Amino acid sequence: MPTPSRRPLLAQIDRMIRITDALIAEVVKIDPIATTLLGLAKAELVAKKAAESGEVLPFSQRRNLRQ
Amino acid sequence: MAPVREAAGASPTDPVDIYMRPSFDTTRYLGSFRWIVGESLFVLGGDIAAAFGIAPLDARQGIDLAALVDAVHPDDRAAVHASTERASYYGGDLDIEFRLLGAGEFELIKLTGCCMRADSGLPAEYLGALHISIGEEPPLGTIAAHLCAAAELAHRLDEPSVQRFLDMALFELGTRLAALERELEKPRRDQAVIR
Repeated sequence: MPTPSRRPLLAQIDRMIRITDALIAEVVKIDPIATTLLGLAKAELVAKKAAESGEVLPFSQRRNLRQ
Repeated sequence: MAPVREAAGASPTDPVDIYMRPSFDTTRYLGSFRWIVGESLFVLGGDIAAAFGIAPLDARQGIDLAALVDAVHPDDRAAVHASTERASYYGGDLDIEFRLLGAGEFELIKLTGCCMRADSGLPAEYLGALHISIGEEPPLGTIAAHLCAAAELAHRLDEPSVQRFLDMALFELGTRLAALERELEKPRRDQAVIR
């Protein structure tokens, strides 16, 4: 069975990372809290990109807690 | 700046909004003025007087245009003179931008006013307001609009943690925007002084 390509999803994540970067560059001038939150959103996006491209294994906190 | 005005609930056709409140998120209201053209007298509020280095009592009683222009940056004096001269002869709306001397924190002062004509048709007096440009600070409303678009994209991406952080950032900016709007809507004492 053919596996669906991950490329569209990776391209979407890349786009979101670029948008978040642009937002951080503007928001940093006016609001430190919003900047921190956008930084956390970017960290989530980077982690998702790494997991989707197979660089790292996805981290499931719930599963690890059960172990 | 249309989306920002719409976000603020302002009607673009409202003349008061056009003349008295230019782009609320990039400027701060400084005060109102009354210019009696025939007597070349400017009656100003306390905040404007402080910005121009004039005693508040003198400003309330009215000061000469020349005293006001003395506080303007030398490079901008000619333009202010030309605009006020033209306005005193022909009337019409006043829309001048200039810098103040020794006002390091102020990027730019924007003066707007509308003409009241006498029965003869000549300009009798001007009523208007002064705003301080906040400078390079990006418009909050525009950033909030971009952040809304990013939040929509994150919802499509189906990534709950990213959605949550973007929603929180949006909430934070929304709170700041509301606080700014409330501050600008607050009645100012110096508006009553020049009545």
